[in-house]
Amino acid sequence: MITFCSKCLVILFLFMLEVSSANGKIITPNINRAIFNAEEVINNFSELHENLMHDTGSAGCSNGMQRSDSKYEVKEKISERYDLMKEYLPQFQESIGLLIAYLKDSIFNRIGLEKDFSDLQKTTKFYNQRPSINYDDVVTPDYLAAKIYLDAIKYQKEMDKHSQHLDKEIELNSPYLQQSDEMFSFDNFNFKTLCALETNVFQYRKILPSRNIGASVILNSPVSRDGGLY
Amino acid sequence: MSARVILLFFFGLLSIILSSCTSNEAVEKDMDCPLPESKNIVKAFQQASKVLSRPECEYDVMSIWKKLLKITQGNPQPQNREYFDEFLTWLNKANLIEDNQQKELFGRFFDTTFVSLPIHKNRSVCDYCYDSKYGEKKLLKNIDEEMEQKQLGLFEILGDESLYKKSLKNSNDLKVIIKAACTSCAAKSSGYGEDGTKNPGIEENIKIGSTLFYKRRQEIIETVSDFEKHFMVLKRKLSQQGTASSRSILFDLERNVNLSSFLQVYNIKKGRFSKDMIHNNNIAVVCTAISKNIDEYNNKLKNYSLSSSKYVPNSEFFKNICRYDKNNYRMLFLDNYKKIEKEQINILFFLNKHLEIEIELFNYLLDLIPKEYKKSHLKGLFLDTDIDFLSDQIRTLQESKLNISIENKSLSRCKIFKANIRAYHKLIEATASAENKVSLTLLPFVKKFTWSEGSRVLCAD
Repeated sequence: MITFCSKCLVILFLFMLEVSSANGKIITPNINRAIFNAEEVINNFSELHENLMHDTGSAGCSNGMQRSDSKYEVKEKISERYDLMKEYLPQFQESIGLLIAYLKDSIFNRIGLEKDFSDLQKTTKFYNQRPSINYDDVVTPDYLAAKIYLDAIKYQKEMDKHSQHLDKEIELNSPYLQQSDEMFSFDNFNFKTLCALETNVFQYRKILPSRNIGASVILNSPVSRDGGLY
Repeated sequence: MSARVILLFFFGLLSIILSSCTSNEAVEKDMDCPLPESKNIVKAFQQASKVLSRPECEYDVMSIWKKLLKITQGNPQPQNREYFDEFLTWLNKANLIEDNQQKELFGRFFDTTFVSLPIHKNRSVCDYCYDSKYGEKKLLKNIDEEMEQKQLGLFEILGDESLYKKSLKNSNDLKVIIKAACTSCAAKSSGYGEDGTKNPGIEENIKIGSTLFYKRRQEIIETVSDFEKHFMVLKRKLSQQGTASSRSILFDLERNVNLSSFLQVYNIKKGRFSKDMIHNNNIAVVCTAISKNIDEYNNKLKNYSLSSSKYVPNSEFFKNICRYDKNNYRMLFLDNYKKIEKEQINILFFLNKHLEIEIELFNYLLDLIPKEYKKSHLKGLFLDTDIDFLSDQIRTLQESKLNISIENKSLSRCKIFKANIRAYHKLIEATASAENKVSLTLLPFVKKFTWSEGSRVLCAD
């Protein structure tokens, strides 16, 4: 009984500690909102994209379309993928823009204005608990924020560049998509831009810090503890 | 035929004589301060110390250092770290290198942290991203160059692979952070408010402030850096001469140094040394310059419908900031600066940064004054002001039909200073409120102020 109670107490204590630490962490709502927003958009897109791929056959981007796929399926699938991308692209651009804006403010204020080069080298390192982010295990909060920021800028640029060609690609493919199955040929088809954009989206998902770990970790500096992140 | 032979013989002889002379000179030069040659590391360090102990070889520190690196490079072992450490300590004790040089040289080659990145109190990462001397590219280049030195020191000389890898990781991390910081500094604040909505005014204000700040900072840094260069060269030359007159000049220079006198006496005026900057060695002018900037900045803020009245430092602020305290004048200055900074990190970004560079310049100039004379000269530096600076303001205001007079009163310098600051405040308020009937009385200072031992002239109430 006593053992059970002490176990209960330990669990209760740990639970309370967890709750209090979660509450105690100052996670700037803005950056969390940006991460949440980006995750929501990407998850919705990914789910729809996955269903689409599942329903319509095995074709992907990296290996090109499988010759075994029926021509009808291919045409349908490609059209739907274009529609999906057209619908989601502005949302991706907005969410990545928001994330970059908040990271930019964070880095500008927390590193750019507040720190000198000796501070940068003094920062305590922490263990990166987000294995999906393909960074080193041991990094500094400054480094993680900087890396995500630079990567996000890279993907934003990529996305912007490809988005300019998306309509053109749809226009070029349109006649082929409207062809009858008999006339349709895989060789006439080019969906390079679509594939590049899809790749960007999945890469972008990889760099996102989780809401509870990544964001607090990014902000987990002396400045942010004082509520100094803007 | 015989004449030709004699001629050939003569030229041959001449060339032999000349070549032997040249080689003798070279040999003599090498013999003067020979580089360590021994493959035995301990002996090589002993040779180096022996050579550098001779006054005529003092300037060969770096070439000997490089030679020692080369010798030990072929023989990696952990003990090499101690040899270099001891050698650097010896160099420092022998006054051949300064403390900071000792630390820097050791850090560059045998430590995992990066010492080639500039570190200066009151200067942040953003400052260096904009600096013409540094900038992002130069900072990254510095890291790469130091990484090569660390490879030599940690890996090839000490044979310590783990330390080398650690420094490599540090360099990569630092480069990512610097790239991100410089990108964010260039982009400035996006101006997103707490609720996530965009604030249209701040970004624009920061842009204006930043442009002015970086321009001004650049001017000051260039001035200071030029001044430093000339000053150091001159000091070195004078101390090398060692004559009575050079010692006398050096004595004067060290005790009476300020930008204006230095530039006038040694005639190294350049276009970029504006009158305003020359007088920046004077804290009273710094104070008035600050108030001038508040005025300018407030006007700019008004254009963007942002009320800044609560951020304007009041007279209390100036009284504190311009108060001389013999023990912690810097702290007073910085404390007040910090107080404002906390309140207005965004809105008064420009002002704070401006203050920062003024402090930097002021502190720099104070550093030039020998410690034992700092106490006395501080008072002079603090209390002297330049009526010409105020006169420019007066002229502008007279055009606006303000009633301004200049009186000569027999008051203490402290009182004069305070009266002028008060007047200057009144002037700022008048400008800000667009009043056109304001009476001001300004009191010119006597140009030269001599502080004598024991006199106490404090500007505190």
